[in-house]
Amino acid sequence: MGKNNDIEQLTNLMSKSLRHKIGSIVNENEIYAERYAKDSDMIMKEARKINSKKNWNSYNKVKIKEKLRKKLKKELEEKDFLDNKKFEIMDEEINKALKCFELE
Amino acid sequence: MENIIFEKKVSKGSKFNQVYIPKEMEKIVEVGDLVQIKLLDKHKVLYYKNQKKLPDFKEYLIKKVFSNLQKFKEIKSIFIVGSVLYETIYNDIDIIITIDKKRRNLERNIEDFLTKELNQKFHVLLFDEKKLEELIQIDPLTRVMFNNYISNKRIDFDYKKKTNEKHIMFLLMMPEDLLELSLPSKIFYSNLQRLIAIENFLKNKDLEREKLLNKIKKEIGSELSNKIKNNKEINNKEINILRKFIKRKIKNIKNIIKNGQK
Repeated sequence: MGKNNDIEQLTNLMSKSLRHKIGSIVNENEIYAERYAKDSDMIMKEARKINSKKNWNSYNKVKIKEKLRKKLKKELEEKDFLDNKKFEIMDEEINKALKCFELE
Repeated sequence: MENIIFEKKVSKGSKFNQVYIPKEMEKIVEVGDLVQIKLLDKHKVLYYKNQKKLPDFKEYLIKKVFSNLQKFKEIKSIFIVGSVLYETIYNDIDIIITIDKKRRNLERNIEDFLTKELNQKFHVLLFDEKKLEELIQIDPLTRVMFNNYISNKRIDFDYKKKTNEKHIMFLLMMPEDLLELSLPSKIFYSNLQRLIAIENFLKNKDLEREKLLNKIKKEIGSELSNKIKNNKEINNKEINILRKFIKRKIKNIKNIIKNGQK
């Protein structure tokens, strides 16, 4: 129960953080990326806190990846003002984040 | 010939700028003598925009920043913005620089160079002038930032605002996330500022930082405002007050956009 709840929280935070990051990258004007990358970092910092407290097994890691992908896709679909290139870089950004958190 | 040296400042004359021979040297350096003038130190002027005079130490530091940055030939103008202008204790010094041509890692090089020279932390953002102009036109937070600054040249950004709906929606993503996520309270504080700035921008109202902060105090009360400003822990009741405020502001902003802003 506790671990499931943590997976929910972790993937919530990571999906929103990655949505900010991807939004900054694909926005037609790169100046946003520089100035608003902070939003993504602030949320990811909180996700890192949850991640560092847990020892995930391989089953958990698979579940985190699946949930993160599903949630991020939904987040990106909802934000229709972000360029459609967002879906092209989604998997790459998920992999980078998971690697950074040693979840892959 | 005897080695005669004196130092004087160049002063403004009616037709030409001039250097006076000191009175005690008038018999040594006389009319008709040939002299050579060597530039020893460039006079640095700080241009204040809507900004109270800074203490001497900060002025000295900023002059040092400006003189050190002369080394980078691609720099056109330098703006000191952010907390160093209004806080006694600041984390880093925010500098916005306009440049001719961006080269790889220039931001990082400038930050490292200044930190090494002046033993302070710096955060540098580089823009070419056109990009900065565009940002000032469409971005409420950049307009807040450029409401007051200190620069190395007299520059006034008098660009008319343009409403870019996509950009405003982009800016609203973070406040919207705060309706669901529990993040440190100072993030709530900066996003309340963001919302008031966006609303004021759309309504053509004042974007002076002090006024935005006073509005937060007025809306949520001084006590809670100070708490979140200082990143203190807040309880569920306080989080609800903040979320209610955020919800209301987001709704207002979306309505203004929907109905065509003023």
